[in-house]
Amino acid sequence: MEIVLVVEDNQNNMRLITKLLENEGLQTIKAYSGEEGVRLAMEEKPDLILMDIKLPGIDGLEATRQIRAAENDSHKVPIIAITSFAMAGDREQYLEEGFTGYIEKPIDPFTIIKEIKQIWGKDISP
Amino acid sequence: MNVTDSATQASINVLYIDDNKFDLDLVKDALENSEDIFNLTTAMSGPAFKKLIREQSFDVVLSDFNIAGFYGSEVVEYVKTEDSEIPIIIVTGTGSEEVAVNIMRQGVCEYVIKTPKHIKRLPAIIISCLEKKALKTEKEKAISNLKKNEARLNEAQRIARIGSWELDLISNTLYWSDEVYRIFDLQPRQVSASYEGFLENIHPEDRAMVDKAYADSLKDKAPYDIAHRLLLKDGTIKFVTEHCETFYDDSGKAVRSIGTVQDITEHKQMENSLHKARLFNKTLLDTSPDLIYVYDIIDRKNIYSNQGIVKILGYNVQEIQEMGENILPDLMHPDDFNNYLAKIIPRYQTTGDGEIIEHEYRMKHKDGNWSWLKSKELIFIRMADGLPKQIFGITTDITHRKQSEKIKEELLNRFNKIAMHIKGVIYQYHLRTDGSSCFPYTSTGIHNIYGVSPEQVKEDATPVFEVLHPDDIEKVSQSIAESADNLSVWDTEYRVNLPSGKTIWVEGNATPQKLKDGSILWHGYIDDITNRKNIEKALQNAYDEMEIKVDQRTKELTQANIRLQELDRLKSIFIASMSHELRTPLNSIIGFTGLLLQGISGKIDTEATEDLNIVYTSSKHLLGLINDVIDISKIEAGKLDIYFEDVKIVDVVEEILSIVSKDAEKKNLKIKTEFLSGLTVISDKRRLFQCILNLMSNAIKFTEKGDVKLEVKKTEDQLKISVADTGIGIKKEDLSKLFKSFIRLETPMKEEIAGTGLGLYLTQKIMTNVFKGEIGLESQYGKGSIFTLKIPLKQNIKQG
Repeated sequence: MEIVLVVEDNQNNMRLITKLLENEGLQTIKAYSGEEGVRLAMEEKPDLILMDIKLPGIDGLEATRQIRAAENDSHKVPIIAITSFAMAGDREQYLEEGFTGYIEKPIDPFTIIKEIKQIWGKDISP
Repeated sequence: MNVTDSATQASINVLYIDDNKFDLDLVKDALENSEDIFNLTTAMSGPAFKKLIREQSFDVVLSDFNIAGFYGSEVVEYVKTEDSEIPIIIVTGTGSEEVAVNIMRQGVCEYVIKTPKHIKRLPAIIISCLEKKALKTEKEKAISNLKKNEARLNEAQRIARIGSWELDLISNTLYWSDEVYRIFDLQPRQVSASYEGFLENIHPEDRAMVDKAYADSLKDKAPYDIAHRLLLKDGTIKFVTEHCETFYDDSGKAVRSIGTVQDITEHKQMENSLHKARLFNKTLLDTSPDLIYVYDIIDRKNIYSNQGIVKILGYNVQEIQEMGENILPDLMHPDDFNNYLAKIIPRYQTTGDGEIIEHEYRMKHKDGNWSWLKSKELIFIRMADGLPKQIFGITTDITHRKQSEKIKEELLNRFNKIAMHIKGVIYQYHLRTDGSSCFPYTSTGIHNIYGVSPEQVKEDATPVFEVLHPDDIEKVSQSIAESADNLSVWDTEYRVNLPSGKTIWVEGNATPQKLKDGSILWHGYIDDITNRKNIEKALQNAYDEMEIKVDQRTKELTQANIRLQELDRLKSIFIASMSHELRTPLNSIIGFTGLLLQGISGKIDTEATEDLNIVYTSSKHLLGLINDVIDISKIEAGKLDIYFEDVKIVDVVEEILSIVSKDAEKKNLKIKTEFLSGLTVISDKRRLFQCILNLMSNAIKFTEKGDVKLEVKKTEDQLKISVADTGIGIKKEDLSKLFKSFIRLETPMKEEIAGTGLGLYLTQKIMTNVFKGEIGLESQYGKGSIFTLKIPLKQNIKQG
């Protein structure tokens, strides 16, 4: 079973995203801060990380930097940024910072899974 | 002469030369026996003779013809060299006729043969010779006198310019005196006098008259006097008078005409110039506008008046004469006549020669008006006792002058009366070359300005300078000097300390004028400007206060502005945080409603699904509303983030179609798109998307059937996007309301149209504020609308 790490400080959003992912048959790990996200990413070796940008403590950018720093070049976990009002400049920056892609907030419950699949490049349907 | 000679004065001194003693005695005896007293001296040789004749005086010389080689002829010659007048008698023994003739020719007086008979007669011969000599001397004297008289006559004729002539009618010869030649301008003796010659020189016009006068005179046997002209060869014209008288013989035949010619040219010329001078004088007197007259103060009447009297008094000369001694009492103004009697008449008695008496008076003109006259008179003729008899005068009509004097006086009066009421002073200020100054004229207002009277400063301006405020004296002096140097208008404000103790502010203004002597005269006005100064000061104070207040207000406004800006910032922060705070729960509502609708949280029935759909749609609508409000407030605050990048039109169009196609399909509307595939522009993708989406969703909302067409075109400098529909269209009167916020036009649509009412307002804001472009609309009510966006490219692009 594929494991998705969701780094999100908002409880409601965390519940919505994880329910949508679990509905697709994916296993989810929840992290409510950037530090927790970095730790769990290293401990649990998830297959995908959904990373909120605005976080208490270190933000999503810093967390991603740390995750990427710890990785070796042969194995890189896809990290999708979840951000509100991402500007074009921001998006490019995310890609440079090591994000695989990004999804805009608010989360559309009807389209988010489709977006994740496009970026991830995996058919995660059961 | 010796004493003996003088004692025998009555005797006749005789010198006798002869070498023959016998002959000597013979002669001696003859002389001694005579009644007359002869004093005989003898010489017996030539040298003795010469000595005697040189040293003594003799009345007669007797000489032998041959005296030892010294001949009588030599005696004659020698005597003549010594004294030509001594008669010589030759006494000779040789008595030939031939010798006698020769001797006589030599100038010898008598020839006596030496015979006793002849010698006896010698005394008588001597006496005769002496008588002859005396006669001859007398004749010569007479001739000499005659010659002198002739010369005198000639001279007299020349001086008198009178020539004389004489015509001998028997021999027909004409004699002209030298003066005649001179008058005719001919050379005496070069031209012989003739009647024809005379006629030739007469002026051709007078010739016949002269000829006839002479002919008539001969016929009438009467003398004549005529005057006529000569025309000389050189063209000169002379005037002459002629007098002629002819003499006749016993038979009545004319034998001799005698006449005189007198040159009167000079006289004529003099007469001419005298005539001209008289004419000149007459013209002068007649044309003079003045009255020129001679008045007899004894007889009290006018002796002479020129025509001027007619011009001045209107009466003609005759009328004046008729008025006689009443002229002055009748015509002169009574006041002036009394003055004349009291003051002028007595002056005639005391005035000296050449002294002029002037007086002005009024005379009644014939037309009834008073004429002002001015007379200048002097004594013309005095009586034997020296008292004045006649006066000579010139009278000029000075009515005009008097009138203008009166006008001047009136004007001056008027001026003074007006000037009196001027509160400041109008004045003349005179700066003399020696540096001193005065006020030749000041109006009475000077008292208000300097506290002095016009008289006080008429000669000397010092009193004025004494009252100037000490701090302003330098300024005033300098400004006067400047005005004098540049001849520029003097304009200065300064203070005056009035004698009353009051200090006033005055303003002076005067124009300088340079006079011939180098001094300068200003004409100007000085006014008391104390009130104005006070007002100015008050104004200045008010202005200063105002300035302070304005500064204060400006500071307050600036502070208020800073506060407003702060408030604006706070508003932005508020909206930003509000948006976040509003959107977070709303996103949860939308998210979980979507979760429920997909049955992820458990199965729900159809009824619940319908209700949840309403929740979902309304939440979405609210989110759109919030997003629009946030965008508008950001644009209005100039804080909308924009980012220009390469935008593929196809991406934008496809995204829009994915959103609106569902709604179009529901209404069975066709969506047509037209653009070049691969069309790329540099733009803000998000805002471009927003604008096109708004137009497209509006078009679909307000169209019931037909189609909606999206067209995107790129020209060299702009991107043109048009959205055309076949919908309800917009009424003309509604066009202006269309782009206002929260406007929903009344529509004939059956269903309620969903929307925020902010779509077109926001689109327009983005077009003008972000893209610097414009939004256009063509619409036909009931047929459809075309919205057009025009976005300029490559200019006014703000890189975000």
